[in-house]
Amino acid sequence: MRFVPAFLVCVLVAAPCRALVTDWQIDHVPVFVGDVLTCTALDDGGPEPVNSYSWEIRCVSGDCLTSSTYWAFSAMGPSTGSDMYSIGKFYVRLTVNYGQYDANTPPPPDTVIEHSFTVQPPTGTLIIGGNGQSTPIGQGVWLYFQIVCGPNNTTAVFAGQPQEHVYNYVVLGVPQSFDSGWVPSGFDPQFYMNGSAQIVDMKFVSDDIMTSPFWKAPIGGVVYTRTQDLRVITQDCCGNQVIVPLGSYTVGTYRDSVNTYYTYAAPN
Amino acid sequence: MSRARFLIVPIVVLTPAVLATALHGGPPAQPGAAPALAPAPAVVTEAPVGPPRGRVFRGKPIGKPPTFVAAPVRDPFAPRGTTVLPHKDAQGVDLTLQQTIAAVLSRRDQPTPERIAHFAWLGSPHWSGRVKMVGWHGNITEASQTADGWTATVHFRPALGPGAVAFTPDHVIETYRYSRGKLELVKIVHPAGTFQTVIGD
Repeated sequence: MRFVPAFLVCVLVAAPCRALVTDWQIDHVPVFVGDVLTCTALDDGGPEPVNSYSWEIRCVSGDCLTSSTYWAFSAMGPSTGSDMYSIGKFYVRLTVNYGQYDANTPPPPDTVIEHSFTVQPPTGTLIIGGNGQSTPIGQGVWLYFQIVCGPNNTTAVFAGQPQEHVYNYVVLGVPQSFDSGWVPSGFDPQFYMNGSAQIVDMKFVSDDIMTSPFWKAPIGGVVYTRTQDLRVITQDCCGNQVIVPLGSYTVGTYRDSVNTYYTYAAPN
Repeated sequence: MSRARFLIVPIVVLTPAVLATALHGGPPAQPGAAPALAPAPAVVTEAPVGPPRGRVFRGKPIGKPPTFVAAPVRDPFAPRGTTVLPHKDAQGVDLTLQQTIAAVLSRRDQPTPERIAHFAWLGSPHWSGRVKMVGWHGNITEASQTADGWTATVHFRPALGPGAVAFTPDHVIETYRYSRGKLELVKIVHPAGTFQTVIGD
């Protein structure tokens, strides 16, 4: 007898699903790919018991504009959170179904509220390894470009085909006509993206004793410079190809001793 | 017993009718009538922003999680044919012309004997095993429309594997004329003083 009232109090206090839902909101903007996004229903604090929250989402990017296909969030509740692994514009629809709160009053009709938000691609890269690393002539040096999002340079969770475009070569002061175009189109063991959303890029200076410009450069001087642009080809939530530019660098190769060099990339 | 009576009091206070009175000014005036609801917006607006409240039910990701299954390793020494690119600064009509020329010369994929001979140095023991000629890479430097076709100057280099960007500053300069459906090599120049070396990027 003594425990029953206490149990009832707990039930009433713990029941959160009440009141008319008036709107819903997301927990942050901008939303970048890989973010955990939380959608939260807002209510008026009234007495109506909620039977269910149904969160549904659809992509409206590109070809999907005419699509009306929704798919359901896997977690249903007044607040639902998901990792956003696709870029694109999304519509999210919340449907709230109510129960009766009074024997004489039918339950209110469902509340349906739809909003949109955009999941943005990464915005650039940061050099996190290999820059300025002294390397023996004839060996390669690996540069690591971390793909990042937004003004705080948050590490991206991202996949796609990385590409580089290298041009404006100047070798020992002599401009070169070579322009690589955007490459590679597939996996390249010397230029690829690893599992940490880093573009891994090998730079190489040959040691051929007769003709390598390395031997003609003064110690402390520049061997060659070039411009390197980076991008990733990926897909949005509808499967449309999206090209994501990830920055442009001026890359210099310098002779720092009799037989060593280093590469230094600076963002343009 | 007195404790039990104390705990029952909040139950009475928190009944739905009491809450409705406090929050909505009482139950609906006409029994059976549903409370008025704002209609769903015709135009989807951007979601407002605010912190999450209460427990967040974490669901499965939206979209496919990034997968980093190692792609099949392309043979870095597989033949790549001939790739000719328009000048990176070409625009408008000029770009259209250069794209046409690039397509014709890429499809042709027939290096001149002089070009092959020019890059014989890549067959030396120093380079064998390090790099391999896998095709040809051309950059258009000049192009112009003629009355019945076009002329174009292209800097050709060998495409080298491994690596997507491995090139030599050494090059030959070939000038082509396309007239009445016929492609003709006008001249080939072997610039002096270039670096017979390989740069990997």
